[in-house]
Amino acid sequence: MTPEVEVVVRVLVAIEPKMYREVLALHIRQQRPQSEVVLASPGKLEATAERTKPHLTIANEVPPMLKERGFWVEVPNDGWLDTHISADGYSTTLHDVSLEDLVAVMDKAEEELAYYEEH
Amino acid sequence: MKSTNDGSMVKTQSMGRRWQRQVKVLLADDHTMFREGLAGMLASSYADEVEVVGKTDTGEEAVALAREKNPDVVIMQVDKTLRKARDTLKQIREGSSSSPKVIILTMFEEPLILREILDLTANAYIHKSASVAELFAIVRAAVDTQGEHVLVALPQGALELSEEGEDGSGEDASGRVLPGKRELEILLLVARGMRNRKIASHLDISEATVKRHLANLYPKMGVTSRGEAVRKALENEWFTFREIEAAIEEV
Repeated sequence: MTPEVEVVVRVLVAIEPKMYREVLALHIRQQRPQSEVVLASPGKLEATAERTKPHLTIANEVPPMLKERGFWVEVPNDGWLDTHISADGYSTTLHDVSLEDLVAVMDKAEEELAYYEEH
Repeated sequence: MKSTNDGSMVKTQSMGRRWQRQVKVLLADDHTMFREGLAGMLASSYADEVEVVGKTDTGEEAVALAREKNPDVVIMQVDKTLRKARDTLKQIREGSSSSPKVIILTMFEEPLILREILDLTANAYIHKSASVAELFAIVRAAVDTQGEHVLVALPQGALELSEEGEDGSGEDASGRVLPGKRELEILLLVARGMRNRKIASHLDISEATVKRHLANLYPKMGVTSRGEAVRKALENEWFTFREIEAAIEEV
C-alpha cells in the first residue's frame, strides 16, 4: 500500500562487516530513493542515532534505547542467518533474510509515519 | 593487458585501466542478502566493467555455472568446511574452459582458520570488512595478475593475529596460549573495568564482536569469567598492573 502522504524514512545501517553495510545501503537507496540512508560503524551506532534520529535501525545489535524508539532489524554477525525484525508492534525472526524483506520493513515504517502525518 | 584469443580481456590505452569487454563474474555466497545486493551493486555501480553472469548459494551450483558461463572471475565465500571449498575450487578450475581467477571472500578473523583459508590456492583473498570498492579493485587486479602471485586484502590486525606464536598457532614455545593482538587489547580493557559495550565503542567495533573475541579466548585460556581471565593474563605477564592502571583515568 502506498501512503498518500509523502514521508521520508530515515534508516541507519550499522552492520558489520562493512561490505554488507555498503551493499545494503546502496540497495535501499536504489529501491527507495526518497529515503535517507545513514551509514555508521557499530561502534558509532549510538552517537549517530542520537544525531540522526532514525525511524529504522539495522544493526548487528540494536541498543534497547533504539528498540524502544522505532522499527529495528537485528542481524547477528555470528553466522548472519537468523534476523530479528521488529516492525509496527510485531516482531519476528527470519532465516537468511533477503533484501526484499528489509525493504518491506522500510515500507511498513513509511506507512506508519504517513499514518501519523495524516492523523 | 593485451588482446589474445576471443574471450580474453582487452584494455584500451585511452581508457586507462578500463577493459573493452566486461569482466564476467560469478558470485557464490550463501548469504542471500549479500549475494543479491552485491550482484545488484556490481550491475549498477560497476556496469561498464563487470557483468554478473551467475549467482548461487551452493558450491555444486557454482561448479555447474562456471562450466556453463565460463566466467573470468569467481567470487566465492568460504565457511568452515574448507575441504569442500577446496574441492569446489578445484572443480571450478577444471570444469571451466575460461580458467577463471578465484577470489575468496571470508568473514573469519581467527588466525588458524585464516591460515587454512590462505592455503586454498585461490588467486585472491579478501575479508568482508573491506569495502565493495576494494573488492572491485581486487577483481581488476586478479584479472590483470599473471603467474602465481596471490592477492590478499585482510585486516591488518588479522594478519598480525595469524603470526602470533612461534609456530603461528597462537602458542609460545612451551605450549602456552598466546592471545591475538585484538584479544589482548580487549582483555586489557576488561581489566580496566570496561563493560563490553564500552569496549566496543572504544575500539569502534560491535558489542557482538567483543563478545566473540572473549568467547574465543576463554576456552583457550581455560577460564570461564572475566575475573579469571584477567588474573591469568596477569600471571602470564600479558600485561601488568601498571598498564591496567595507566589508563584507568581514561575509562
